[in-house]
Amino acid sequence: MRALLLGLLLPLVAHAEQPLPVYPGTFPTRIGKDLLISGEYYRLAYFQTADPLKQVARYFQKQWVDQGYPVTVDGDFKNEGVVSAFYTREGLVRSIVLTQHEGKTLGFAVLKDVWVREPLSKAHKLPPLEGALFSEDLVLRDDSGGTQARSSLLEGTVDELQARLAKGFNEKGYALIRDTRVKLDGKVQRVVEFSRGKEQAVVGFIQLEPKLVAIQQTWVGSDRPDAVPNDEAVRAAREKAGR
Amino acid sequence: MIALLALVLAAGPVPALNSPVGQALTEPLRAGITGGKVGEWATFRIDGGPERVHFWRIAVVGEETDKKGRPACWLELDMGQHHAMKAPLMQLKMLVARGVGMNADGVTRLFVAVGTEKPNELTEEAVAQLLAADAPKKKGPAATGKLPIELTTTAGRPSQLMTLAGTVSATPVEVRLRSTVVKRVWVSPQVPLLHLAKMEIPAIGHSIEVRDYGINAQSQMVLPPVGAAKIKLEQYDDLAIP
Repeated sequence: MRALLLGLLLPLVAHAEQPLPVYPGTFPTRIGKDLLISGEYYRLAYFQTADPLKQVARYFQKQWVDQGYPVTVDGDFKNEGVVSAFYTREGLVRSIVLTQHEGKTLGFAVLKDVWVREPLSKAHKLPPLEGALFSEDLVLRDDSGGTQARSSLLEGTVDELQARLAKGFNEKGYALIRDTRVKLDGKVQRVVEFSRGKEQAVVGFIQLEPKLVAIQQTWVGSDRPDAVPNDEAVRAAREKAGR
Repeated sequence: MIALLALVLAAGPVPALNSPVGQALTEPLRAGITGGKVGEWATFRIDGGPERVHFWRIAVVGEETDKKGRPACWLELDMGQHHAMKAPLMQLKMLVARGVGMNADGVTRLFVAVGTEKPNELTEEAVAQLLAADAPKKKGPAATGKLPIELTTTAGRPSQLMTLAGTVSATPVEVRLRSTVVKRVWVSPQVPLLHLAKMEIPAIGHSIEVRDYGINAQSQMVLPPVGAAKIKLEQYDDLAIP
């Protein structure tokens, strides 16, 4: 009987999901399912506690050091701080990112798989924009579709860059459906919307300095336009990486 | 990525194996691994002074016949900051011909991982290159024409020695250069593989002591999928700046 039970349980243990770090007395909330951020594989959750930021950081630092993992700490641990443990045998990094929020400690529990990498060309849906001084992509997939958010910093004026970007969208088959101006924190933001079938892209432009523009692009696909469900994409990426 | 790993590799395992501690621990394995049974393992605590404590794990985790038809064993060498070896900073796994030992001729396959990098196998050329670089340099004849200085070895009586891994029966051996102690070694048949219970190298303030040992070792390295690209090495030592 015991052998039978063991036989049934072992496969479950072998395929158990890698857990996120948890602070005692908190109930972490997952942020989406597994995420691909700039082609890297993440699992995220957040939690809140009344305990001081430094106490939370010390808890994880002590736990991971005692368990025998190499640990790094970064930050002032008054307003913010990051504690990371490196699981070198498994190719995983567990981190706690802490910040102050409304008098409490807000923590993000992060699990990063450094052995799995999705090619960016497959993940990206937004047309490329050459010459960015800075650009960061966040790609999410779930059962209902996917989203991509890109923050960029470019030299030029809003009108020049809007024209360049609109050309890129047009070449990919998107149509311009709205072009508006809204006021945000005292600055005028130009918001342009594009559409292609059931895909939508919203682009916001803000002139930060006379020749410097911040662009925030968001792409949403509600009908799985890549025809690859998230779970299948994650499974394929992990299989490719031998995980 | 592989080029980067090769660069890290050139700066990692070779100096680690060639360090006084690395040589002290691997020297007995370079001439052959005839006695080590599958499953035997030992972890050693290396004390190089304040804030310079680290650990090495040596384990025999399998055996098979190598491509040259020789009996061989899979040897794992890990180096890390904690004796539990849950997250070593360097991992090596090599197929060593038992009768030849851990040298360029005896090692036919070698996997390596540095930090959180995924383990990868070295090409045959890279294995030969790595182990050749790791071989102790041959000393030429003394320039003065004098005979090499003789070291003397003195063995004491077996006694009980308290170690981090528990009390073991060990024989003290002292290696001296005239009246100066070069190293003290406590040899114990109870400690698997190297039979090393403790070693002190007074001149450089290093000590090595067995931390744990056992006979139930299993492979800890996650091997890359079959067909994964292998690591090539490039020689940087001979590059001259014009």
